[in-house]
Amino acid sequence: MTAAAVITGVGTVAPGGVGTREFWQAACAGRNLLARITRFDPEDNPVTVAGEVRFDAGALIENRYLVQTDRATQFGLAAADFAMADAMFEPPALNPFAAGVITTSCVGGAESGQRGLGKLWRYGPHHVSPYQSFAPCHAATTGQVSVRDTMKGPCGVLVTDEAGGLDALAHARRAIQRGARIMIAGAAEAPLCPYALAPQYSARMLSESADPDTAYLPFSHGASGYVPAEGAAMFVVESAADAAERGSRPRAVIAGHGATFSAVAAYDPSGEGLAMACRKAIAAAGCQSQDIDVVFADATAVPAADRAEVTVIKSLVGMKVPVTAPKAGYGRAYASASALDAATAVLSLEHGIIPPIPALAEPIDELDFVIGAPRRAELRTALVLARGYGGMNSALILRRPGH
Amino acid sequence: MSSIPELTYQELASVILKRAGITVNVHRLCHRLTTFADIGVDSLGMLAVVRELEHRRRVDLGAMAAQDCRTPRQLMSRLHDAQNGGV
Repeated sequence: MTAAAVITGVGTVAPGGVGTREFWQAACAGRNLLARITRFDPEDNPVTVAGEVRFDAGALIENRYLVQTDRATQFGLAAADFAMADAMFEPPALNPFAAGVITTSCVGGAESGQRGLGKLWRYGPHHVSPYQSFAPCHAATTGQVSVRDTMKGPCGVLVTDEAGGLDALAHARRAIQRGARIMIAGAAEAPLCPYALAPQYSARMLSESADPDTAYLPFSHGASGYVPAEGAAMFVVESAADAAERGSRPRAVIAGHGATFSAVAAYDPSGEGLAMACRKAIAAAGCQSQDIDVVFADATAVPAADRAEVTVIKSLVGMKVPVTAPKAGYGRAYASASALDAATAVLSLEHGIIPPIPALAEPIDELDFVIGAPRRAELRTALVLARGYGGMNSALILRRPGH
Repeated sequence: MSSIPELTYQELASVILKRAGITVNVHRLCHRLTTFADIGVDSLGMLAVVRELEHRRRVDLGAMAAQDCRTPRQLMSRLHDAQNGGV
């Protein structure tokens, strides 16, 4: 019997709100928070609508970290703060070498990279900041949290696109089972700059609609790709025994995780890889598919990928289990999308409330989609799904403690 | 050559705030025993501070300035020398 890994803290930075309570309220309200991009002038870009975070970096991030970090890392540092406060954990840990950080990002610090390239070509090499050596790196968020909060134990970085947010929690669980005492795990993304978005345009996965109300309609006949978003979600993960000893409240048990790599297309149109990830997660959790009370869908709004996901969900849990995708209201924030979904799942289990898909006028299937308004339900077990561009599939099972 | 006026330390303090994100008292900054490590400027922060001073004063402080100058006083002296004809 291995130690059960539990989530004792949740921290979120999202278009709906900076802070976990704000995020949860926005998710439950089911409003559409998408809008025309303001972080740069999107006039000549095919993508003009996104989910932006209203973030006062100066108020949340210590100055010395502010000058050397990308917006993504600033989101990550703030979300880590929220998560640690939620877990009543104040770093440093008693033994910093048993405290670790695992974060994931698809886009990394692209905005810093863009700024550095601009200075390089416009003014020359002497005008590129020394911080350019790490600020744009995918590893920067793990590094800065580790440095700031004296977490000297197992640290790592995952790059698996949207699947990463779930993979990071699985990694944290493994680290706990291998002897780490406390892990900060999660995702941070700030992809709303031309340098990050431009390479994605040719794949035609991003919605090019200029109408925020209809730009992102997963599982709908009108689906035309997803709307990009920024944000972060971080978690405090520790063993159930340590949580009990610290007197912190276990919010959810990381019960099982499965990951596969289909590598057949942008998103495996057969859904086989995703189905296998689900089966592995269910087996790892030691439960049955009929134990699942709610599904948080990946919801790409790419028609072939939506159909594949519907097929997987239907074959796994049938038609009677509620399926939701709150991200339809605030956008798909790459690795943070699944981390935010995991955060939503933790809060759903806790409150017995499923936040809705804001709007779904013409669903492509008769699955029990939660639409328009939050739904009360007795929830014990949640399944969260995520797929990365290129074939990553990930499934995570979270369980309410004591069930 | 006369000693470096305090005004320059004021400017150094603003450069440290801008490039390393650290607020430092000018009296502390110009004390002869104060080191950059004392006020929390790490090696990378030193590179950023040196780069900014080079741009502002249009001088070359030398490749090793960030490593060599352990104290603000040493850095100011290096800047003074550079502005007055070579390191």
